[in-house]
Amino acid sequence: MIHVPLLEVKNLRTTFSTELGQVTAVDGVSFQVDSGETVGLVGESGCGKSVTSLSILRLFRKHSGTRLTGEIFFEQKELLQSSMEELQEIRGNRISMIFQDPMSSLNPVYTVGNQIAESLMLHQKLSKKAAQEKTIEMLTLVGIPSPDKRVNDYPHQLSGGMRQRVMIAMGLCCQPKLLIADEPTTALDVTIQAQILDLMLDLQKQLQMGILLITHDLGVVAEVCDRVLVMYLGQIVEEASVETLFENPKHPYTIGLMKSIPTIDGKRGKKLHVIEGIVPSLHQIPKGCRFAPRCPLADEKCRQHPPDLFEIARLHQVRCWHHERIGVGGVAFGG
Amino acid sequence: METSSVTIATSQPVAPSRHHVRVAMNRFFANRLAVSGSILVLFITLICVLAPLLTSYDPLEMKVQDRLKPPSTSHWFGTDEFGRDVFTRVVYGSRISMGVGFSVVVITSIVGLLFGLYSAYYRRLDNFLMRINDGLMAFPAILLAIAILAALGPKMSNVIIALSVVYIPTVARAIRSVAITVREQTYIEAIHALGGKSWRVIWLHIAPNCLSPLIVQATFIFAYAVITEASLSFLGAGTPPPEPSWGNILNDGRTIMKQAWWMTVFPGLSIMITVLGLNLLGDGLRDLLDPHTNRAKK
Repeated sequence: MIHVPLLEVKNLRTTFSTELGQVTAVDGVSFQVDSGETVGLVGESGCGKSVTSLSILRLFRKHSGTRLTGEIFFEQKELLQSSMEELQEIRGNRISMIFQDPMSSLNPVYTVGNQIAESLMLHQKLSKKAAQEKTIEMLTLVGIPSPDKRVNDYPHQLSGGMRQRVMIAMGLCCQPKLLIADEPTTALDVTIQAQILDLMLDLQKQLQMGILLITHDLGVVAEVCDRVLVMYLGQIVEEASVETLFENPKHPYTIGLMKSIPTIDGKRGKKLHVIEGIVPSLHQIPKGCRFAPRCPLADEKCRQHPPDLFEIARLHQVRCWHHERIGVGGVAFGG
Repeated sequence: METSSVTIATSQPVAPSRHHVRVAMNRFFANRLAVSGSILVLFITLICVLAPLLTSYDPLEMKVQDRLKPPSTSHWFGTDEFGRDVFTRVVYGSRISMGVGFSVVVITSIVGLLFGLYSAYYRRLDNFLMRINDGLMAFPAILLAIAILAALGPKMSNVIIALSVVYIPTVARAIRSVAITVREQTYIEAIHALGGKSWRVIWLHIAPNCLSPLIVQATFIFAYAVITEASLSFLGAGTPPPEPSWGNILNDGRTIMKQAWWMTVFPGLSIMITVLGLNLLGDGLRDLLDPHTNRAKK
């Protein structure tokens, strides 16, 4: 039997037209997400993480000059070729999305109960009363105290953590097969962060859904993900299981990211590691390897020729000419 | 003992919706602008509704023997050059002013909301609708109204049409600018991500967020419409005589202002009170509905 992944993205390219010309925000990205699996998508701001997630549901304004090419299969259905009606049926029902900012992700003029119920009435064709009951059930599930009262609250009456829980309840109320979480915990403090992540994993087990977790927080990745995709400037530069990535990172960029994490036993007063240079603008993409200008290993070959994704082990891919020179744990760095 | 337990029992289970209503009412009554404005507007509205009860005269009935009588106990506001009771004419005139104002507000709000929302949501439509808007806004309001009335003929319904055409662009612009900000909010993107269709997003999610600026705008449009209707009638382009309207009573009194001051003062005061009331109400509502104004100052 051939294994069919829940979500399969093949060679996705997302191009925007701007005043300065065409910009390719996502360039040839391919990956898969299986049922019950959590895949992390990591990278700096502006590397194309969010655009990738928006591309999956085609959440771009019509006539905005956005061009999507490649293929996205969800449950064997091609999403880029689907009609708007088919997509609207999938959005919020089979694929849900949780947004980064819980403070502005809820409509201020409706109670939270109304907003969750809306999605239920929209997709599950529930009656108002049934939707209301199901809403209270969902609020209980995401751990909101006295949900029968909270259901009538307006967003401004809830704290950030509560709102994020409401967002999750909204995302999960139709029991989606795939959850796209775009930095779901960035706006929350660390204790709430842990609670929300636990909650998501708990619900994942119950519903057997796949999660695509977009984040720049490697701590979160280490905690919850099964596999990780590292993105840089619109491309995937490394893909590995979470253990492999943390024990044996092969891309200089991944190694740089790892080194930038503050450690609990690090010396006080010692400066944190930084990756030299800045992310180039998408208008001036380097000719060779995109990371070459900031890479300590870069040589003439790197500056002239863009590397391919090399499969160096099973389920471990890296986009670097020098991956062989990088030893276990990235120790031979710069050698 | 008995009474205290009763008070606790009644004060505790307050339905949330009623609670919000009470909070909103308290806030409204604490705002002096809004309260004084609404008292004036309510006063004029009552006059308009109760007109037949307030006076025993007929606004159109002429009595030559009573020509140009100054204010007295039998004619509170005096009489005009045809012997008609000015108080009665002013009272009935309020029906025209308020009627025109109200109809214009309803039409401009609905059409303005429609245009504003759709041009904010659909960029291609935006260019088209806003150029029409710009074109209409290029004319001074009163000139445009006169031009439309010249084409349609002076009639109350035509005054309403003309004033609506004149004020729709103002409402459409205000709504469009709010709707554009709302459209970019994450919660609108979230509705799209939940599979909401365009009409749902526009009417159930963007529109409610535009309501408070619409209410404020509508109150001001009401005031403008009252003034413009009076101006048009004064110029002879609006409500045709002998039907009484504040504007045409003013016009009747214009040439004899020195002999019969009451014919100019009373309709003038009526216009002033109405417009003042509406503007105060509008300012008050803006303070109340716009979360960005500092409430502590008022």
